Amino acid sequence: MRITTLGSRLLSTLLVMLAITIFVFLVMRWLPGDPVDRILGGSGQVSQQQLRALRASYHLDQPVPLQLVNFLGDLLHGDIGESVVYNRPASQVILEHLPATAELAVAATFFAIGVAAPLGVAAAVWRGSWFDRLASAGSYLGISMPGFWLGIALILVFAVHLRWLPVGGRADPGAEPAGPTGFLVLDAILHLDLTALASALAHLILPAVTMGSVMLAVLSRVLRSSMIEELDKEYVALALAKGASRRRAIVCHALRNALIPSVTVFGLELGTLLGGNMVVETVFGWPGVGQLAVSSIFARDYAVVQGVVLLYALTFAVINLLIDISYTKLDPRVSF
Amino acid sequence: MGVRLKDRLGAGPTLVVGAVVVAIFALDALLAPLVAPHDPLHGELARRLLPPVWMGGSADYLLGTDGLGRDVLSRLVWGARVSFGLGLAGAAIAAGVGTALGMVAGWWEGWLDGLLGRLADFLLAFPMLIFAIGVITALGSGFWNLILALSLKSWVEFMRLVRGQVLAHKQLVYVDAAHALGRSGAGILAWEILPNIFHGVLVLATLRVGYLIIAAASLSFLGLGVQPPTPEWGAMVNDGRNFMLSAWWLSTFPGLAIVVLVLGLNLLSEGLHELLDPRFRDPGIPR
Amino acid sequence: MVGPAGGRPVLLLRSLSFVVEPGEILGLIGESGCGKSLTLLSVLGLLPRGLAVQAGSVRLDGMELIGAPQRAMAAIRGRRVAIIFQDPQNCLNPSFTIGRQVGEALCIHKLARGRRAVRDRVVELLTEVGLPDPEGCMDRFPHQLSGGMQQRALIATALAAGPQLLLADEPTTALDVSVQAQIMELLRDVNRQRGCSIVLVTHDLALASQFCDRIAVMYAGQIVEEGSVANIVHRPAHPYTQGLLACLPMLGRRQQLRPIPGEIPTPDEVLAVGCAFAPRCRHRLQECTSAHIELHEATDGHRARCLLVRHSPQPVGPPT
Repeated sequence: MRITTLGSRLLSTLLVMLAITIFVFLVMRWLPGDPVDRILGGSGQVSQQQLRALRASYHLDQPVPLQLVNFLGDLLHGDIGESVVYNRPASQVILEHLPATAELAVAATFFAIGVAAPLGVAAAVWRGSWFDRLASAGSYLGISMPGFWLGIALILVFAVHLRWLPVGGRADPGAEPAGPTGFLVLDAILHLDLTALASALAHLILPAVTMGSVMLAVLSRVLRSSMIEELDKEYVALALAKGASRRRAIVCHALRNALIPSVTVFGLELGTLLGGNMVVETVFGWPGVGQLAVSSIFARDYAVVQGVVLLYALTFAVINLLIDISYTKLDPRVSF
Repeated sequence: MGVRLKDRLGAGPTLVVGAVVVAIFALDALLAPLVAPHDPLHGELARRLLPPVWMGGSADYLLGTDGLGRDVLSRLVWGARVSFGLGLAGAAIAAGVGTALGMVAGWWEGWLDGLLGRLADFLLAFPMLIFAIGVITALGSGFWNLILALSLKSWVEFMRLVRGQVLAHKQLVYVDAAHALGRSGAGILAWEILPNIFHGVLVLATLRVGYLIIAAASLSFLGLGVQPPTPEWGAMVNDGRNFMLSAWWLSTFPGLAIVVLVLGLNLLSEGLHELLDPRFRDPGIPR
Repeated sequence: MVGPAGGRPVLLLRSLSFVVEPGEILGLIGESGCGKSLTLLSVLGLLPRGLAVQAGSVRLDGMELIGAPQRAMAAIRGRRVAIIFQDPQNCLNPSFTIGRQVGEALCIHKLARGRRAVRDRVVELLTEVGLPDPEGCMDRFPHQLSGGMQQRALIATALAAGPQLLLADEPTTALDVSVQAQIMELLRDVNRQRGCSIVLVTHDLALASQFCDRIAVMYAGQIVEEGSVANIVHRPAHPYTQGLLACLPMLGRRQQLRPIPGEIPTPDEVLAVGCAFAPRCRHRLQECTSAHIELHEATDGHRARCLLVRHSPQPVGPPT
């Protein structure tokens, strides 16, 4: 029955989420040094009493299992603790940085799919040609390049040497529309602000390309091999025999079926994409969740790091679920 | 069946190119003390930020020097030990653990298989970097902790691969034959099944080494991996960021080294896959 | 003449010519590898990668098809000439409903406007091919139908645009025997009621003799004999045809099966000049391998590519 299978999938996803939460929580507690020391330590002017009081306010004086229970309880209220660096609820801090990362991730995904699709299909249709071999070589290169290096190389070429694109950041100073969505591109459109739009897009290009390059390489290869398999099948020949144009046979028939295995790969690569987010944001100075995560780790800002890890894992789990559901829509032979 | 080895090798430039590249790096890593012209840890501040020799630098420092006056080439050469070593060790541990667990899960199934499956789901919910960061921040950074973090996540893939293969091979006739000859379960696993699935593990392992090299470099780039002054390619790229405008070569060369080595590994993996693909072998007769 | 495009010239089809009259069913008989399927594909210009028509002509009502521009070919495919392949499972796109696939030809050739019209027409077609519950079938997916039903759906697909000529490539080989008979009856009905010509490719001489009006026998890329069913079955002129008939076991009679000695040559092995069957033929003459052999007329409309026929217009009797 559809509902119960869906339900059990949700349940197992939630269980995994719980396990992740506990894992992250425990990991954070094992860190040498704690945040209070870091903030106040060394000043020598703070009395033991004040230190104790501060610790208590962060529940750090209680035994770890009790801390965990408190934490889980708070979590249900949407409270993941206070950021010791920002002095605000960690959830708030994370949400503030979220639109930047979301925009980048979306742009990277669009880039990856937008280029991989025609590339993979063309490579399959013209298999063995110089185009195919070039695309193949390119994809090998794509999966061999570390994101941080690609980003730096792109900056060196396009920003430093050619000066076509900006070096980093999200937008030119002063060109940030105070928009409703937090997605600079959308906000610029909503405000009909062309300068802001141009600035936002220009800043988005290099980081999106860097972040999407691995997915692009993998997707185009998978799509190519799926397409080759489908193109050889008889229903494609039959479509042509009915009088369909080549394009119709390729796109409507073969591609439709080739997408099915590609979707699974897409889901997996999305995880890699999200993982690379931290590196890309660091390289380009992108004020998103990734950069927040890195700085919070160094600052031992427990709550924020927890929140970020939770966020990544949650996003990934939800995406996988969506992918599984869409799989049933795409392939009539599979039912939930 | 029985396609001649010579024919197959002839059709595989990928294998040859990949193998050659990897061999070069491997040799370089092994012979680092002999190959590197200078001490990678010791720098002459007076000669810092020299450009590569073809851009006006000195012949003593072929690829220039970094911010602390250390020879880039020497650090690259020694860095091979670190980066390649990280990838190799991580992949080896992951392969070993994963294969063992996969064989157990595939052969005996039952609750152990279920448990491993849940564990695998949990681990796969994390993107690699996120997970590694979690482990590293708990245990501290450094060479061996990094390897631990990387292999702790990677074994899952090997387990799944091996488990699937064992499940498939269990159905084949030769396993029945071995049973009939009185072999024990563990014996069959080790002596009969493992040789048949080994090539798959090898291909995956080769691929993983490259992936782990990149992961380790990324972590070191973020400052969470190998700590200075140990020369690690990713860390070197990070160091070079401060001088991007003035000394671009500091970030470029270490990254290039990563790209070439990983490319070589990927080609090698692909070549091995072509070479060892069981399509060229006799499939077992299914029951 | 069909061979690889570029590269070593190994001819796969050579010396083929036959004519299909309107409303007749022509059987194209031959064993595996003789090139029957390729013949059909080359009519529609759908040769697989790497093969091309080197020489020859295919004419439909006087219009030359070889070398015709893609657009013209696309207009013909499905609309005037349709094809049915052997394995229905693989010919249907697993992701689309039956209704959509049957109606596709209608949409491509713009024969019906609007979803309602297409839907109605598809139901008509599905009824015509004998599918139970045509309305329900329309919304089902290929994997939900049995082999026989799939083949019926495929026939409906082929008939959708009302073709004059139907090319059937071993339409029943993949089906159970009882279903085979049903499908063949269906094809016969199609031929009678629509006046549609059919080229039936099969390796089953018995099947062909039951359903076809005329038969052409192929061997190693050549047509070696053609004529009416009666002539072919009762008065075979070419030694290969005779051998084939002798191979057929007959129900109710215990007899020794007489296989034809030797093996079918691969395209490389086929003799460049002369009769391809000569190496296996017991009536072989010296001249059989020295010169190109034309189709010689034995009786009216009955021709064979054999020097023995040329020598004596009366067909040589079956080997005793």
